[in-house]
Amino acid sequence: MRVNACFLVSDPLEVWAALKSGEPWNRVKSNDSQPLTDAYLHAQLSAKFDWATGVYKQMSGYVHLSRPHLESTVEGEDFLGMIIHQGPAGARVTDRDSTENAQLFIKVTKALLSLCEEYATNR
Amino acid sequence: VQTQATLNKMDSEGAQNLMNNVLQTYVLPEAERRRNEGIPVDGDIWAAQVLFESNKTGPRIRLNSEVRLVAQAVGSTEVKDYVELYNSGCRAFGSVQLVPDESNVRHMSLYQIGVTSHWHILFNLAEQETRSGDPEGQIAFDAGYQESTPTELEALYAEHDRIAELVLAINSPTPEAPIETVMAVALQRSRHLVQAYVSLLQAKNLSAPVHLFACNLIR
Repeated sequence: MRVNACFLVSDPLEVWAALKSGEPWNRVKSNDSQPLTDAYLHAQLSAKFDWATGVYKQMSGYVHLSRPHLESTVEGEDFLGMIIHQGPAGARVTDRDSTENAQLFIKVTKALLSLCEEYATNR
Repeated sequence: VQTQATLNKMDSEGAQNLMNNVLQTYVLPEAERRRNEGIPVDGDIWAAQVLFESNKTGPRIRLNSEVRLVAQAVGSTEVKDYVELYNSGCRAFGSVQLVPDESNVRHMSLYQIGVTSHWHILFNLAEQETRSGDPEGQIAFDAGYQESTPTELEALYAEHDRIAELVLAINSPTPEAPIETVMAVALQRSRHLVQAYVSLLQAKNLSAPVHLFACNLIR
C-alpha cells in the first residue's frame, strides 16, 4: 500500500519524508488532495489488485485485537464456563490458521514484487 | 582418485556427476541405513560430509546438522558455523570452509549455498603427509544440483534478490530516487518477513501444505 502511495502523490519526496520522520502518512496528500490514510491507500491499491481491500481487512485482523486473537485464547464465548488459555505463542493457532495467514502473506508479497518489478522495468 | 590437475579442470557437468556419485555411493545409502534403523533424517538432506579416515574401515558420514563447516553469509565478513546460519534461515552463502580443526581431513562435503537448492562440493582427497599444508587441496565446485523444486516461500525469497537488483540498478535522479529507496526499504522488510514465515512454517512442519495451497492460489 505504501509503496503504491509513491505513485499517488505529486512529490514522492513527501512520502520519503514521512517514512524518514515516522510522521503519520495521513499528513501527506495525494494528487486528488486526499490524505494517505490506510482506507484510501488500500482502496487505491484495489485498482491494481482487486483483492487488496479484502486482504487488508483480513491481515489487519492479525494485527489489531480482534476475532482471531479471541479464538486462539478463549474456548466458549459465553462467560459461564469459558476457558481462557495463556501460554506459549501460537500454541493454540491451528495449522489451518497458519496456512491461511501464509497464503495472505504470499499474496501481499507477490503484489509488492509486482509493483517494484513493473516500476523498474518501465523506467 | 583424480589428480589435482584434473580436478582443477572440472566443469559444471563434471561437478554434477561427482555430486551424484557421492550422493548415490555414500549419502543416500546412509540415509537409508538410518531409516531402517528407525532414526531417519528429519526432512530433506541439505548438507552432507563424507570423511575418509585411515584408521576406519569405511568413511564416516555426517548429514544435515551434523556437518562441521564454517561459512560467511553473503554481505557479511563474519565467519560463523554453517549449520547455525542455515538453521537461522540464511540461504545465501558467500564462502564455506571446513572448520579449522578439521582442515586436513580427507573429505567430500556437499552443502547448499542458495535458496534454490543450489549445491557446492568442497573436497580434499589428498593424504595429509603428501600435502604442503596450504589449502590448495580444498576445492569448491559449483555442482548446480537441483534436489527439489523450492517451496513457494523459498521462491519468493529468491525473487526479492532479483527484483531488488532491478530496482537498485535504476539509479535515477531526484525526485524519482525516493521511490526506489522506499521500494528498497519495503523489499528488505518483506524479505525479513518471508524469512520469518519460512521459520514459522518449518517449525510447524507446514512447508509442504503451504506450497500446495500457494500453487492452488496462483492457478
